[in-house]
Amino acid sequence: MLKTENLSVGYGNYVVVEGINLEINRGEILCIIGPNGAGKSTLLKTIATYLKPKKGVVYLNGKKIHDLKPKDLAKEMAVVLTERVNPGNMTGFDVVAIGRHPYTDLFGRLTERDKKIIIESARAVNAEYLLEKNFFEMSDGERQKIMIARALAQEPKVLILDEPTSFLDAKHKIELTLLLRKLADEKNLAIVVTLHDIELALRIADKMALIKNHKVIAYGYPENVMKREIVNELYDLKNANYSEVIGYFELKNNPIKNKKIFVICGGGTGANVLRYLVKNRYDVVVGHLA
Amino acid sequence: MDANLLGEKYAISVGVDIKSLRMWLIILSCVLTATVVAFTGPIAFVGITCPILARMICGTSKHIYVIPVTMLLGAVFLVVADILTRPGVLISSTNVLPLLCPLSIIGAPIAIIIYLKIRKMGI
Repeated sequence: MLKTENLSVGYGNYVVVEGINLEINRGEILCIIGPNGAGKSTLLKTIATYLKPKKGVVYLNGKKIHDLKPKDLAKEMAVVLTERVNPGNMTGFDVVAIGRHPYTDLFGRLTERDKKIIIESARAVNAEYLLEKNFFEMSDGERQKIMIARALAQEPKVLILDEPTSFLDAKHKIELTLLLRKLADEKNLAIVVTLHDIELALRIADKMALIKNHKVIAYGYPENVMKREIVNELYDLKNANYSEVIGYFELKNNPIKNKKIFVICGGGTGANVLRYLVKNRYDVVVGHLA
Repeated sequence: MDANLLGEKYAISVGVDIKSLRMWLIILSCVLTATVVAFTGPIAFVGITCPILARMICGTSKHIYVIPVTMLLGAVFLVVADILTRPGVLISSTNVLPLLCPLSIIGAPIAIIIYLKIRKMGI
């Protein structure tokens, strides 16, 4: 479906990431993670054809993506970016309708089919109630839903999202992440997404690519890629450790010498107690009774 | 043009050939401005006031509604300003006032008020 071959991306004469070989098929989610400034967005911008590759090729269905006509590409691939948009005085419906641009005439007239697709796209992201609401009156979460509905109205086969959870609270983050999984499964979309939240990324991704120091340091199934050493190296962690069990970080804390404690636990039963003790700087030793 | 309201990148992603759109808009604006100025001399505040006013009247930024209303408002605005320049209407002299006078007197405050209102609405 979408494939990058020995791709190098960057701006001007500066190469940000090189030697990228990724592949994604329909119904799969590829999560790209890495520290700030690693080049995740640059990679997405290159795949979205906003930037030309420094080296290598991006293929979409076997065709070079940068050679496709904008309208043809828009029918195959849709993009949702991090940056906030301000389209002026427009309703949710008007914004989603922009997604029908590749299918409408010069004046942007919508047919009955177009209107049906717009409503269906909004329904797919649980945003039908937002269609009549003004875009500038919406919250960040609502805006993000409408922007995804707009992308779906393009009837794409590939969806590119650049940090879609950036401005969202926990509830909307979870809702959006689950929505991406639903879209990949039900609409059979190939989704490429950059996420900061590795905990959520782990739970929805079929493949993960970790980017650091101008290259992809690990790529593959999350279960194989997300190892303690790799993730610690990815974020240069000194005061925390990535835990494969919980799929997130456990923080280190320097213990105070006179507060020693022995905890008898096992099978995850001591997790809360241990977290409390480490947070309060106890010197903890763990074991179980034979 | 509606797609362009979301920004250049989104316009590209829905299939707009942004370079060609920009080129045609510049050519069209140049031709229209040159024609109008050749016939009437310098005019001001029509281009800044009328589209914003049209957007408020239409209650939307969709160009399919905004452009025709802007054209109508522009024509009305200019005709009213032209009537005001005629001798005996504003001043009782036999000389015709320059068109810029009523345009600036009416247009500038409207432009400022609308700008402040729009900023307050965040659109």
